[in-house]
Amino acid sequence: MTQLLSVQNLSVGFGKGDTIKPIIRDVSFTLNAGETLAIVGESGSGKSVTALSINRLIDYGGGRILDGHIDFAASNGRTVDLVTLAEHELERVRGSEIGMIFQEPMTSLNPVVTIGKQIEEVFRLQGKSGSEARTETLRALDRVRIADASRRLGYYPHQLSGGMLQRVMIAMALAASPRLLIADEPTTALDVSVQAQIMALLSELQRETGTGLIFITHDLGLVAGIADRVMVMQAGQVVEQGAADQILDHAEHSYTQHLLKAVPHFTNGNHVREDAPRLSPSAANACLSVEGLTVRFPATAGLLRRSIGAIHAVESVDFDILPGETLAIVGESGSGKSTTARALLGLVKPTRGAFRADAQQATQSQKPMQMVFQNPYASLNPRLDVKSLLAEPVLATGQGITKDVQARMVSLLERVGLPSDSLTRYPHEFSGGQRQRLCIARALMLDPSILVLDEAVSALDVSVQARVLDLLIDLQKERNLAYLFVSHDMAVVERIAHRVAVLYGGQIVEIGDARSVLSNPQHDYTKKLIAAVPTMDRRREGFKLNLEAVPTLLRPAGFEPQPAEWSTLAPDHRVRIQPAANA
Amino acid sequence: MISFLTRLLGHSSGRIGAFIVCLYLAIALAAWFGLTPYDPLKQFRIDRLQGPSAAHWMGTDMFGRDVMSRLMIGIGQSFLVAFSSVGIAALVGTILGLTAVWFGRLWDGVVMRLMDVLLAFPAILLALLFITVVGPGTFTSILAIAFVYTPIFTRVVRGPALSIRARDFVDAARTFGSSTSYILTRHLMLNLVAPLTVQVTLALAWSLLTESGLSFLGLGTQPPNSSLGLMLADSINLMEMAPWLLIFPGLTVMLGILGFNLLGDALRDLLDPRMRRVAA
Repeated sequence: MTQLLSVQNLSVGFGKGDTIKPIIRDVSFTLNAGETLAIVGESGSGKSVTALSINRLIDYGGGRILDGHIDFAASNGRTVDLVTLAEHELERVRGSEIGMIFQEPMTSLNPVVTIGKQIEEVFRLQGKSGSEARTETLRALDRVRIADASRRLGYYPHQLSGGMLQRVMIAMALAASPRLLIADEPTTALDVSVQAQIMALLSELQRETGTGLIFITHDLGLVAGIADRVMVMQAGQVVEQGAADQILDHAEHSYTQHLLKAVPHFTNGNHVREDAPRLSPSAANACLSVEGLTVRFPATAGLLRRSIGAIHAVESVDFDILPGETLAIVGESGSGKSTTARALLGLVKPTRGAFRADAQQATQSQKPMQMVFQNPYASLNPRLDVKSLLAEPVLATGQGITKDVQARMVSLLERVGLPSDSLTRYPHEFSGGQRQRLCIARALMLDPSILVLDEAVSALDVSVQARVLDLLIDLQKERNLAYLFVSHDMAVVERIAHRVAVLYGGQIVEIGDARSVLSNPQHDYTKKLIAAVPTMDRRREGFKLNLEAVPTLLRPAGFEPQPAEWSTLAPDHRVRIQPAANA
Repeated sequence: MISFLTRLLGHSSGRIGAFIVCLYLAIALAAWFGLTPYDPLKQFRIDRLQGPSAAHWMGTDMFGRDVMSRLMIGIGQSFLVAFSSVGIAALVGTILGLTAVWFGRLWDGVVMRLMDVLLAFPAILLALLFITVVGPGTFTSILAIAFVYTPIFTRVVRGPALSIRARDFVDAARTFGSSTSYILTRHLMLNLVAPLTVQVTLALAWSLLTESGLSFLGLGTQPPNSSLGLMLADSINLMEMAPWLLIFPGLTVMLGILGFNLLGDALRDLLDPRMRRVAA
């Protein structure tokens, strides 16, 4: 194979003049045409900086290449050093020779221009005429498997889902048939099932076109599925690189081993927790029971906001949770899992249904249910210090901040593993994982019996994620807490859940004990979800493309769904019977 | 409080801004207690329109009054009007903006459409209208200017407040059962400090201008009392003959606005915990 890219001793720094601070040091790697290199590392490891240095976008981010060479075999047969190339020459290289896909498709596309126009622009830059560019655009959308492409051309980005937008981004990146494609966490913002689709697309397109691919990710599970070679980065330096199998099976560096260990492996329900309170003979009564919870949002259309029905976001959901038990709610975005959590906390008004939450001790100072949000950067007011943040739930119940409360703050901070001087500090002084610990401490201030964890570890790096999960499990055992754990990540669910409820289109389609549901899924949707989970054991196994459209939740006014019929598989495993037409 | 002052003095532009503002306050206070070189109303008939001299440091005006004495009185007068009007406008505007965001729907619609109507008028015209109804004078010009600038504060507050309301920490506060007033003050208000300080420093400058405009039209500060705007207005016809009548009040206005802007910038930085250096 021909060598496409060779990076030698690359160092990149940020800052000005004397205060320039190197962010990555001495990075070297090579990439052949048609090969996939995965760069793996946690946030701050310099993996994105490395990628941005290759097409020199780093110049616009305030960075400077301090040392090293980036030799790129251009399409005209010459090898150019991208480090010394002038800006006007770089403009020719970017896009036409090196394409890039960013993490967040929602923000990488211009919201006021139709996607058709945005893709066309790429072709126009190549000097194609209007009609030529349009046919090419159609072909590009077809190539990324966007059904009904001619109609979608006129869509604006907000009219498409995240997965669709990422496909548009890929279509744009591939429009100029680049020799090198850089994908910076292209699936991190997407659901598992959509993620699998995008991965499938990338690997298929790569096979077709022979493009070199640099795939940046924090998820080693994904790496196994796509990469030929893997490079692990930590704190701006390469700690290990080699063939994918070599790295995944025989990692030598301790950091790689640490990362591999921290990745939650999904094992089809073979490693679920054994301490399920439901199985013990002395099982207590449920501390949260939900019956027929239904949330519908009115849907309107047109200028006069004519009612056209209702979005049935959550439809007749029933479950209960025992003290000390974790019920995981899984499903893709739009399945109603977050809405369920929010309805329980009173953030959304349920249309119908009832739920009952019992406090452990019936005291005034208690609220039975508290919530931890997904994004620890958004769920803490940046203007308040930790003391004020922790005081808020207490103040909300009308109590003063007494010595007891202060002692409680200190002990909770200590319990969640934060330094004792945290009280006077502000959220921005903490890392993502520490902030999430702070959120957990805040939720525990009122001594709840139920914690609702809405994707509580999804925004964290894998190794941080593992430690926060451990903390949650310890806290659960200590305090006999019930968890409602909302997540799309099956591997995390397997690790923390006693029971699993699968939500699809606002309805529970399968519920039961974790081992049974994960190892023996019965509903088609559950099977699909589990099949989409990337695991270490699935090497370069072609992800299959699925063109099925997501069902709409919009129902005409007055629509009432059929009451669910259930079949019971095991003492604690129920599946909704699927209508024959769908089977 | 002490630590805040030391941090303010440690901030380079804050130090300069604080110095200028304190200087102006001192001058205004001195003038209030009659500590001016001459009686600002006394007319030295023989020394009319004299340039700066040892006796009259900033010269005399067309009635032979001492410009420096009148300037000292004028500073107090102008900044009283500017501060009070911007204070009232910021307070009322913020309350209207926050309640519009929080209670939404009908109240939001009513408040914001009303503010849009007010914004559609040129500032000075609206102030004229107000004064015509209420009658001229210092107090009414304060109210008039406040009235004119309230819609701007409402708009400035409403935009960011809408986005802050959608942030997770507001949802979190609601799950704790925090009261509306707690959420409005601690979560929304605190995060609005940055846009508000910027707006206040800008509005101070505008309100000085509006006040001079009103005085020029004879509807603000009434002669023989003096304000910076009035002095500027009076000097325009004599600009070529007696430039000092324009230069000194002009410089005073400029320096004052510079001082408030610098102080405003510094306050915005200091009130933001993210700008605070982490104690090593």
